[in-house]
Amino acid sequence: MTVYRKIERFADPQTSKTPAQKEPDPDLGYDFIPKERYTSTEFKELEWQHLWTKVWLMGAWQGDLKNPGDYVTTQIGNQHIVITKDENHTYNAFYNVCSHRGNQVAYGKSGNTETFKCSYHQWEYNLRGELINVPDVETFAQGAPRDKLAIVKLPCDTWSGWVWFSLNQDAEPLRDFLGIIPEHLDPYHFDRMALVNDVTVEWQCNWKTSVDAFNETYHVFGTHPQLTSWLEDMDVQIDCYERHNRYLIPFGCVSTHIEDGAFLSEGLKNFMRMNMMDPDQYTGDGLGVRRAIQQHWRKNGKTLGFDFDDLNDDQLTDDYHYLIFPNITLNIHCNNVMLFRQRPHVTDPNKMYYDLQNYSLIPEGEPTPERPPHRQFKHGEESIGEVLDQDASNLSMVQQGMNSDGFRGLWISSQELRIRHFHKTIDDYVHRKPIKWT
Amino acid sequence: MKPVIALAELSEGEMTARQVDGVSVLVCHVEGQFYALHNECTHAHQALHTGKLTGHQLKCPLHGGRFDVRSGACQGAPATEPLTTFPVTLEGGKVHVTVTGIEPRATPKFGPFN
Repeated sequence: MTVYRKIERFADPQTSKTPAQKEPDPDLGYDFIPKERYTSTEFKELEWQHLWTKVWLMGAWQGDLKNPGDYVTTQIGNQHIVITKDENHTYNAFYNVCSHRGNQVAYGKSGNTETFKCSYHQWEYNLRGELINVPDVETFAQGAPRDKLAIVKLPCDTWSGWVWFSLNQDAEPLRDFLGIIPEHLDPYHFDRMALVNDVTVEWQCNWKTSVDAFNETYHVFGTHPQLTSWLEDMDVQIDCYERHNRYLIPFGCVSTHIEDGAFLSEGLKNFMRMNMMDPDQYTGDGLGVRRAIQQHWRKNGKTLGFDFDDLNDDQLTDDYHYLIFPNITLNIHCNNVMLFRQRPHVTDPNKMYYDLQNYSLIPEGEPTPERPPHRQFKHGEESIGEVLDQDASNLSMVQQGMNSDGFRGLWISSQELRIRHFHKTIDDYVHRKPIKWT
Repeated sequence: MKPVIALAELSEGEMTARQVDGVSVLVCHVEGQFYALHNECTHAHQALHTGKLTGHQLKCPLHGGRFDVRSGACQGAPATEPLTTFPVTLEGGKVHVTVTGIEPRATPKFGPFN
C-alpha cells in the first residue's frame, strides 16, 4: 500500500525516562511459523512443563489487596492459586488446596478473612498458608505436623501495582524476569491508576492466537478501518528485547495509508475530547492534532489534575504497547491502560480465557471510582467495545485455520516482527521443533 | 434538507462522498435517480465511496459486503445489516439530503478502544 507521510517523533531520547530509541531488529529469518503449536495437545503440554510453570505470572491487582486479610484467587491451567496480604502487609501466594483431602480453602474471586478454614473438615490456615488448627488432631495417629502440612507457597513479588507469582520454586527474581519493563513503564505510575473494568471472555482460540492478534498493526486497515482516521498503523516503531517486546503507535493523526492527512476527522475530534481538548476551539488541521494534544497536556495537565512530568511528549498521545512475556498485553496511554491477560484453557488448545482490564488515572482531587465487579462470559454474549469486538470476530475463524489441512503456517511480514519474536521466545522455553530462524 | 452536490458533478453510474452535519454521506447516481446513504459499511465501518457501483448494487471495497442503494438492503456477506438511507430532493440543480437516523458512535468508556 502507498504510504504518504512519515509521523514525526517529539520524544527526546536523551531526556526520556522511558527509553524511546529504536533497538536493532533481531535476525529471526523468514520461515513459516508452524501452525501445530496452536492446536496440538502435545505442544500445550510442553508449554505447561517448560513455560507456564517456569515464568512469572500476573496474579492480582494490588488495589484488591489493600488491607491485611484481603485475598484474591486466580487460576492458571488446572492450578488454583490464592494471593493474600498478611498482618505484616506482606503478599503471599500459595496453592488453593487443603493439605488434608485436597479441597479448596479460599472461596470466590476475592474476599477478606483472618484465616482460611476448609469447608470440608475445617482444617485452618493463616494468611501465609501455614496450618494452625486440625480438628480432632488426636485421631491422626501419625500426627499432623504443621511444618509438613503447610500449604505449598509460591514465589511472590510486586511490581507497579500488581502482585506476581510463579509456579517455579526456583524462579529467578521477578525484577530479573521483567528485565527492561520496570525502567520502561515505571514513569507511567500504574500504581496510581484505578481499575475501572474487569471482565473475562471465553474465546474459541489458542491463547497465542490472541497474543498475536494484538502484536501487530498490519490488521488495522482490514479489521478496524474506522481507526485509520485517527491513528497510525504503518509508521510504528517495533522493539524486541530479551523476551518482551513493544511497539509505539502514534495516535491523534490520520493513518499514513490515507492520502489526505489534513482532514480533521470525527475520529480525531473524538480523540481530542478523550484528551480533554475541545475540538471546536482547535483551529489547525488533521496534521497538527497530535502535537496540539501533546502541547495541551504539557500546558494544562497539572490544572486538570494530572502529573505527566515523567513522560515524554509522544507518550502524551501515543500507545506505548508492550507484551510482557508470555501473556500480558498492555495498551498504554498517559492516563489509561488497557490490559489483556491471555490464559490457556485447562484442556483444550482451541480455547482460552481473555482477561480484559481497564485502568484509569483519576485526576487529583477527584474521588476514586468504586472497583467494578468482575464479570465472565463467552464470546458473543456481550460486547466488549467496538474495536475489541472486531478483533474477537476474527479469532475463532483464525483458530479454525490453524486446524485446516490446507494451511501451511504463518507467513509473517516485517510489520509483524513482534509475532516472530514472541514465537522465538516460546521456542526458547519449549525447545521443540524450533523454527528455522535463519 | 441541505444542498450536497450539483447534479452536473455526478455522472450516471458514479458515486461520491460528502460531509453533512459531521456525517459522511454517500451520493449515488443510477439510472437518472439520486440516492443518499450513510457512507459506512455496517460490517466493519469501512467508507464505501471507493467501492464498486454496479447498477443499483454497491460493493464495499474492504470485505465485499453488498447493498442496494435504493433501499440500503443488505445483499451480500459479510455484512448482515442494511445501510441507512437518507431522503433526497433535487432543487436548483443540486442534490439535497436530510441526514437522519444516524446514532452517534458510542463513546468509549474506559480508553480509546473500549
